[in-house]
Amino acid sequence: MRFVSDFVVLTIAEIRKYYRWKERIIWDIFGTLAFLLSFLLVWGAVFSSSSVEIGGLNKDNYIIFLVTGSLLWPAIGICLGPLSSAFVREKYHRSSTYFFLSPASRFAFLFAKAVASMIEVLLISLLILMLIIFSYEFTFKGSLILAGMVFFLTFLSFSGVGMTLAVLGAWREGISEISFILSEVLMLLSGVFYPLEVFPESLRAFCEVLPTTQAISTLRMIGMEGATLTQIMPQLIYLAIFSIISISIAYFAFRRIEKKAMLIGI
Amino acid sequence: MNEIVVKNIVKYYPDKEYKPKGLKRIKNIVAPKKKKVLDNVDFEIKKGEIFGLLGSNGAGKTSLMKMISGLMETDEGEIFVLGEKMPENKKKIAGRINGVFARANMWWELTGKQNLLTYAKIYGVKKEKAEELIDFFGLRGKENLYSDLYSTGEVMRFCLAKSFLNDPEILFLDEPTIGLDPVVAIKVREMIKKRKKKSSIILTTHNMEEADFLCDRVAIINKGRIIKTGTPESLKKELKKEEIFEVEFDKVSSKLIENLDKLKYVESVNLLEDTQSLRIILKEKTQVNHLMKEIQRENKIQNIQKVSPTLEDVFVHLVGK
Repeated sequence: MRFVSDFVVLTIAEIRKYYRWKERIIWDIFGTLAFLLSFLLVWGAVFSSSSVEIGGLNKDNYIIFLVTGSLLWPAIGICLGPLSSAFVREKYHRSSTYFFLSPASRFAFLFAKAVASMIEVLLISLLILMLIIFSYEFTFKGSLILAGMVFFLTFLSFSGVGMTLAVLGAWREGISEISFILSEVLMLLSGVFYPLEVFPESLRAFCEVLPTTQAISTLRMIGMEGATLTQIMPQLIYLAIFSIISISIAYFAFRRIEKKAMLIGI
Repeated sequence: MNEIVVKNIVKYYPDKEYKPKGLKRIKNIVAPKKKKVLDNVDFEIKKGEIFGLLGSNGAGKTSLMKMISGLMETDEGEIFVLGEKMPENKKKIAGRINGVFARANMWWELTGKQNLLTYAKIYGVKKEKAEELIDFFGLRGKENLYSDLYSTGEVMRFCLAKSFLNDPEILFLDEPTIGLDPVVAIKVREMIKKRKKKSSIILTTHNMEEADFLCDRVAIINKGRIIKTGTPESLKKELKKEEIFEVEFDKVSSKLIENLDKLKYVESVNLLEDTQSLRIILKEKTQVNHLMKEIQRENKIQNIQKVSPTLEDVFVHLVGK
């Protein structure tokens, strides 16, 4: 009961904190849109003059290819960036002292931050989707419920990674820079805006096992090919296992850092 | 009844001044060299008492406060707050304690009022209580600004308001007037004094006048050890065997202070702020004549008076020059 009430109160507080970060959110949206529009122009130019096909990408499917990548990327990017720095900020602004003094549930605190980030992700993705729907014509072939599942599992997986980075960030400085580098490298290697076929084969094998690639390609399977639950089951299991592992690591890292903090004072 | 019992607390911190070379470096990373920051600390606080922890910077006051409030573990010894062992049973009493810590902050992305309302909900308190405290601390009109836009004094008042939210049975106040202007500091002290009726208060401060005004009992900590405990009055009485003078000169030079400080029978010499007067504490009464001779040899005295000891004199006497 304590967990539920604290979770509600803290989620509201976290959403209010996001309001303070509204400029950052606006720039996040612009950033994602800028990437999307750039690649729409690039691929549009490539496919307009010929019937060329690059890694299964052609003039009929490049829009939905880019849209799926752009919609899912905020879920990953926000977990690695803003979510992890939201925890680190608590440490550097020393606002965690009063929280830990209070009777509030620590896990409600973790979950509230994750849920507030998820709400941000949904808002950004919806906004991008609406802008694209009004500007371009494309068809999403598969089930929206399945797409939602992929979204949720992707968020869950990477919130674990984000929280682990945040916990490490509370211990060692420079983690926000590492988060940024990780997020950029993953974006380059996961085929968010181009097919993995542009990479040499040796690198492609590595890229394909990345959870980011798995998440994006699963959403594309649903959106571009109308894949069913049975067809995407292996990928969903992969993402579910990754979620369990990443959240478990985050939990143990949190417990460890909490124990360490208790030795030197929160 | 004792609301806080602190029994033989010992605490070690990694020794950051220790910079080994060569292989010892690796050894220090694996098992860092530690230094004792609290040594056999022992005291009790009664219900409705304001207890002051006085000490120089790094004496261990804040660490001790964090251990009592359950924010830090002890290495040895035991702490009981409201009958519960800390920090193991902190959850059981977390709703009955509260406080402010010198370097801690509110959530700066929220307004002062949003901070108070969030904590009100966490502590299960009606929002009217938060509104009442906004008025009580004179923060009306400021409550809707983001917390990073407040002055130091306003931040402290919001933090104090937060700490009063749940009418705590134990209130931790770690340097509650640090960085405040004198007018606000006086107001805050009055508020703390009023709070005494409802809470037992444990307070750390560098300000001896504040401790004298607020505390029923004080403990003086030096290098992690409690070297004296008692009421401010009893501590001052103990010092009365010594003599304290305030001597007004034509001009006070640093050489004069240095020379007086070197005298064996002088406990301490302090220049009084914005004056040409020195506050001189003698180790023994019998040395007054020697002091007068020494002073008058090269300096012109405007005025001299014997004064009563303050808590600051006690502190200087106990902690050393």
